[in-house]
Amino acid sequence: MSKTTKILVTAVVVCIVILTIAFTILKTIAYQKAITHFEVYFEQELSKKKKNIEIYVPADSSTKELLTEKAYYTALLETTKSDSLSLCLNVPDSTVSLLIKGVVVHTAKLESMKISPLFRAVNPTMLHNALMQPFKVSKQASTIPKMPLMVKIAPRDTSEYTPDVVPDTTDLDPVNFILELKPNVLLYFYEANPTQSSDGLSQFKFDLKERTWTLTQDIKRIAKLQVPEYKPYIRVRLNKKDAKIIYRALPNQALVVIKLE
Amino acid sequence: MEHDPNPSSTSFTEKQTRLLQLGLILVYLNIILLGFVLLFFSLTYTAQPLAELIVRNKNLYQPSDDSLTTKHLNAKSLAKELSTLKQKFANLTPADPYIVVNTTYNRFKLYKNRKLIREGFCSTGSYTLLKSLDKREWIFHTPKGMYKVQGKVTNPVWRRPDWSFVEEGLPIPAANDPSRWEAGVLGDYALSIGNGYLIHGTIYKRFLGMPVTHGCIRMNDEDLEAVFKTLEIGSKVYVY
Repeated sequence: MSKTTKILVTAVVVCIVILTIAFTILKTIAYQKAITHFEVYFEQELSKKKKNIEIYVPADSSTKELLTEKAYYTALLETTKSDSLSLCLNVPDSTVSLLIKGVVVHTAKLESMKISPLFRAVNPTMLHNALMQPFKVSKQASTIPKMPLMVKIAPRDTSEYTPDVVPDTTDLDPVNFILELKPNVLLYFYEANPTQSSDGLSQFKFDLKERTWTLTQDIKRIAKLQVPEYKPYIRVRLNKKDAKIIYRALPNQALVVIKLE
Repeated sequence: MEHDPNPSSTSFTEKQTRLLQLGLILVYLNIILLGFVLLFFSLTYTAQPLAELIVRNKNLYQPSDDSLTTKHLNAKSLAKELSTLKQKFANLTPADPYIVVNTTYNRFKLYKNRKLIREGFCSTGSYTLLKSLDKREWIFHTPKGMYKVQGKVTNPVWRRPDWSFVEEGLPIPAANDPSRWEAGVLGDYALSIGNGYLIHGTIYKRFLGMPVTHGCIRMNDEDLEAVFKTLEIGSKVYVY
C-alpha cells in the first residue's frame, strides 16, 4: 500500500469515527427531546380533552399490571367510537389483532419484536396516560398496494367481450409495511422467515430505503442547524399472510392500541 | 554487456504512467466511496442504538401545566374500574350469531354464542375498476366494516345493474326491462347487508376462495344454507 493510500484510508476512517460520534451525540439529544415531546404531547392532548392525568406510585408489580390492563381496555373501548377497523398490538401476548367495533376479527401471533427503549425511558405515569388512548395512523408505506386495483375497459360490443379468467392468487409479493402513528411512533411490520431469497432481499431493500430516508431527513435538519429527529418504534415480524391481511384491512387513518409490558 | 544498476526498477512510458495515475485515482475514489458506504451504515445502524444506550430513565412525572388536574389511583379502585372495563369490552362481542368475512383470503367464519360453528371459503370483490366508454366507472370491492343483515330472501332473483351490461358490451336496457331479471344465479338464498351488497350462492363454485365478485359475498350451497339459517335480521356481519 502506498503512503498516499495509507493516509487516505486513515483519513476516511477518522472521518467515519468523528462523524459517527458527532451524529450519536446529536441523536442522543434527539432521543432526550423525543422523550420530552412524547410526554408533553400527551399532556397537551389530555388538557385539550379536559381529562385527568392519572397518577400512581408503582407500589408493587400487581398495581402496575392493573394499570397496564386498565390502559389497554380503555383504549380498546375508545376504538369502538370509530366505524373502521382498528389494530391492537399486544406486546405481552406477542399478538396483533384486528378489531371492528370492539370485536376481534383476526388475531396473529408475532414471531419476534423489538421495542424502542423510549417506552421504558418515558415517565411511567405519562406512558400509562398515553396508552389509555388509541394512537392514530398518520402515514403508511408498504411493499404491496393497499387496493390491488385492476383496470378493465368495457368492451364496445359483445364480440369484444371476454369472460373473466381465474385470478392469480399466488402470494409472490413480499409483505413489509410501516405505520407512522401520531406522535411520531413507528410500527414496522416485517414478513417473518421470508420463504424466497427475493423476499429477503426485498425486505432488506425496504428497510434500507426507510433508513436512507430517515438519514436524509436528519442530515437536512442538521444542515438547518436543527437536532435530528428520534422516532420511537416497535418492529415486529409476523407471518406473511397475516401481514397482508392486516395491511389490506387497515384504513388510512386507523386507530392503533398498544399494550406494553 | 550493459548492466542495470537497480534490477527491481521498471521504466514506464508516458502512457503507462498516466494509466497508473488513473488507476490510483480510481483506487482513491473507491476508498472514499467505501468510506461513504461505511459511514452510512455506521450512522444508520450504530448512532441510534448508541444514543438509546446513553440516555437514562427519567424521574417521576411532574405535570408541567398547572391547569391539568390529576387523579390519584389506588389498587382497590383500580381493580373495580378494570373489572367494569373488561365487562364492557366483553359485551361488545355479540352473543347472537354473527359472521366474519376475510376479503384478503376469501374465507368466512360463522359464530354462535361467541363460538365458532362453521368456517369455509367464499368469494369477495375482485378490486376491478371497470371503465365504460361513456366515462362511467365502477370499483368492484367488498367494503370493510360492520354491517347488519337487513333482509333474507329464498330463491332470489338477480336484478342486473348497469355495470353487468356494460361489462359484457351489451346496451343498457330500461330500468324495468325484463332482460334485467335473472333467476337461479344467486343460489337458493340471499341475505342483504345494505347498499345493494348481498351474501348469496353462486354457479361459479370453482372460484370460491378467490376475489372474483362485484362486491357481494358468494358462498357454496351448504355454507349459504347454514349462514341463512343461523343469521337473523339484524345479525352482524364483519368484513375485513
